[in-house]
Amino acid sequence: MRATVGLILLAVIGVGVGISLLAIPFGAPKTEIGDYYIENAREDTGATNVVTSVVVGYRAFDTLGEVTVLFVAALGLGAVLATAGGKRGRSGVEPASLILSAGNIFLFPLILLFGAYIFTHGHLTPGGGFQGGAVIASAFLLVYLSSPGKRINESGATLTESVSGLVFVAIGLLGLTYGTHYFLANFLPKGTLNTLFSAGIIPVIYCAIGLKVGSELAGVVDNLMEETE
Amino acid sequence: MTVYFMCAVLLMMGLYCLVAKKNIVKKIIGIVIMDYAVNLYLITIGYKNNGVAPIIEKTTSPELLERFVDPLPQALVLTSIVIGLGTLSLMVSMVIRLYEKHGTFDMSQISKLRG
Amino acid sequence: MNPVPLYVAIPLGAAFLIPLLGMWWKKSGETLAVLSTLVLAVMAILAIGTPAMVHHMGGWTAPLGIALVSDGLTVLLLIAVNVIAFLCIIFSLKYMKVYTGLTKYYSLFMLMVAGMNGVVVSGDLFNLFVFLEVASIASYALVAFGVEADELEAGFKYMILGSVASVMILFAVGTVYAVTGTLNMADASREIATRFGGAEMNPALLLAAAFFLMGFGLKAALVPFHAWLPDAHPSAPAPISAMLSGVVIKSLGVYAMCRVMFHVFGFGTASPSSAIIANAMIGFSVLSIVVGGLLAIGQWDFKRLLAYSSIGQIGYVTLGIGVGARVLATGGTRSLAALAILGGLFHLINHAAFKSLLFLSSGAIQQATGTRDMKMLSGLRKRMPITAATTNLAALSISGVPPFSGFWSKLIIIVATIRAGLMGVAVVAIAMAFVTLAYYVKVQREILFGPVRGPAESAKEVSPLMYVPMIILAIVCVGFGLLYPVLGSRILEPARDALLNGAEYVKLVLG
Repeated sequence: MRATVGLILLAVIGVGVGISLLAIPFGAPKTEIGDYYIENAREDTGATNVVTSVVVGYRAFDTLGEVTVLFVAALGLGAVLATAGGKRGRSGVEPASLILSAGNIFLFPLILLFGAYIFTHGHLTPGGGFQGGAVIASAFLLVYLSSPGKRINESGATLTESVSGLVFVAIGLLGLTYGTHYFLANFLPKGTLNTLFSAGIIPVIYCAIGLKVGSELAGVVDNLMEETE
Repeated sequence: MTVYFMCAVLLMMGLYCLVAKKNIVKKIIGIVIMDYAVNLYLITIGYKNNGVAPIIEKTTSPELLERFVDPLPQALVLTSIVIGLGTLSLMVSMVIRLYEKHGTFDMSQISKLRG
Repeated sequence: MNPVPLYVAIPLGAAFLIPLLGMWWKKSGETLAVLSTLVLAVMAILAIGTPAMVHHMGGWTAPLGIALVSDGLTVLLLIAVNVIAFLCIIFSLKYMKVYTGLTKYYSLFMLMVAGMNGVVVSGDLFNLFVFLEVASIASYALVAFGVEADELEAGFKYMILGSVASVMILFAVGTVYAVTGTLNMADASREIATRFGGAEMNPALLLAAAFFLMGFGLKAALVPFHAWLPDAHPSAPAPISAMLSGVVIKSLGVYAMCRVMFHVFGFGTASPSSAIIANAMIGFSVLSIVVGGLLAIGQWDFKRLLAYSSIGQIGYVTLGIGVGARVLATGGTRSLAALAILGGLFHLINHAAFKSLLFLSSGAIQQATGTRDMKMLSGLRKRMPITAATTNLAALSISGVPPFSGFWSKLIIIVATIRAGLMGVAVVAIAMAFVTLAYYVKVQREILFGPVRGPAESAKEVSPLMYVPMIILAIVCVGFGLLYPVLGSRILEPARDALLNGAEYVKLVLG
């Protein structure tokens, strides 16, 4: 009864919302700012991936906020799942099959390499720090699934995570004191287009983000895996 | 035009799932569906007819530059996906703890705070 | 050099450093938290009276990049957030000793402060959303910090409702971008004024305004979006309850709503759409005042009573601001709108002071006696004189007894409502003010006065680290009432002018 009333109410609201949205043009967006980004991203930031130049160049402060959100979530997860008297074991997980445990030895370094490739080339090809970090974390998830007794080095993960976060904030503060005196200004040389060492601070930031996200998500997976018993 | 309508429908479906289901894991899935609806909406705002991805290569001609889609909504969606992931991980951790304390996923059994 | 980005960079740096140093140095959390909040509070107080500033992040001018803006309204909120954060950290040094995992607590606290500072200085819609999420997620984790069954359930409910609000806010931000083509608040307001000034707004924009009102209304706990607050605020540890009720609902809810409604959508054009928005704000405020007041009377749990009282008082704040908006939208005199908005903003900073003081004293009482059930407590005045005196002062302030600060702010709001012609609303506001007095008299009678019995027998006054912040906040409550002529012109009037003069904001950011 309550479900059907809710359904009808939400259907009415949904139709109302949908009809209001018809007032927005589709396929021909009003993009003065978007056009500026497309035309000038190469000169302003030196990156050929325009989305990267938006994410880490023009709107780098949003990326700092995003990295912070992930940090808060990982910290909150650690705080909620923390047990009072040390960690519990993971005895309930089934042992992995032969394919998984054999394939893991071969695949783990390749997945790490692929993730590192994605985040170091974020300014040239589609991808970037977050995508590369997620791939790295999935490599660690594969390790957990194939060898249930293994655990990552927790203090190493926390160290990587905090140091990478501090590198990002430090680059921002360096831009404040150095260069053009604005937070997160691009103060390193832009180099030649389409090479690895171009685009100023963008590859440095993306490497820091890739390492941070990778170690953070691996820590999250570690915290969650501890609970299954 | 119908794309925006479908985004609104998806948003309302997620909201219905959140409101009408009693299982807290299903409520979380409702919130995830709402997140996806908003991300889909943001991406389709930037679409240009006959558009291509905004990656400049050595062979890009100025005519191709005209066809690039708007890169700003893509940056917004990158951030939004990561924020959704953060929220989801925190919600899942609370569900794990709630299950340990109460032994059930049913919201009506868990709601003890009244008044 | 512009200090505006430091309000976000300092707490972020502290929050990233605390887990790193906490691996070797156990006291890192407390030291870094005290130091950084002290620096922030001093910076905020020194910012009083400075002219408005803009900092363009990364050197990209607005609207290409993100602009951080510090005008009068920002300075008001920065003072409230940072000073109360400093005092709550001092209180936490002693109060949180019973909890484990304190490194994570201090780090999450600094992240919540960083998020709130980021929301308040932001000049860009999406940036506001990102930092709103930072502060919200930190507060979800802090509410559930003690991981007991009650706290988890309250934290989970808060989290679900908060996520719905965030989704709605993001949807509205996307819609504003689709219609105006920009995310910068000043640029969007200029677009909307030139394209829709004086005429009917685009229906998609009206939808965006409705979603913003719902999303920010949920963060501010306006009725009917208040369902999470009575569970979340009592279940959190006392300094976190003080932060939540004192500053989080104001910076994430009320401030964001004011900034977006007054500057992006604008009320100065006397169009029918802005009148709809203003009337909606007044409607929600009246509902909050009534529901908050009526449900607070029957409570016997001290913190739950304070939580319902928060709902009612936030109703007063948004009533003042909504009346000002309505006067502007229907073409009334600017001086009347200025009076109403002044009342609303004055009540905002008053409520931050006395509600956080009340929650801190509930924490002190809970630590000394072990309970917060008002039926069991009695006669604390004799055993805990300092706590009782500060609680008394706060209760008198919030009930609107002259000459304390609460009386003046409520008076200004009610006078402005009467002069705007909303007689029914004014009668409700006056009646509920008496109801507020009634339930705070109940608090005083039950907890402070009367014979000493039960758990109060073994109560002792709490340590100085806990009562010094309470004394400071009590002095602020009294001070705002007595020193209003001095403080009002330096702090409140620039804030009110910042809200009224949309054109100056646009000129400041876009040059």
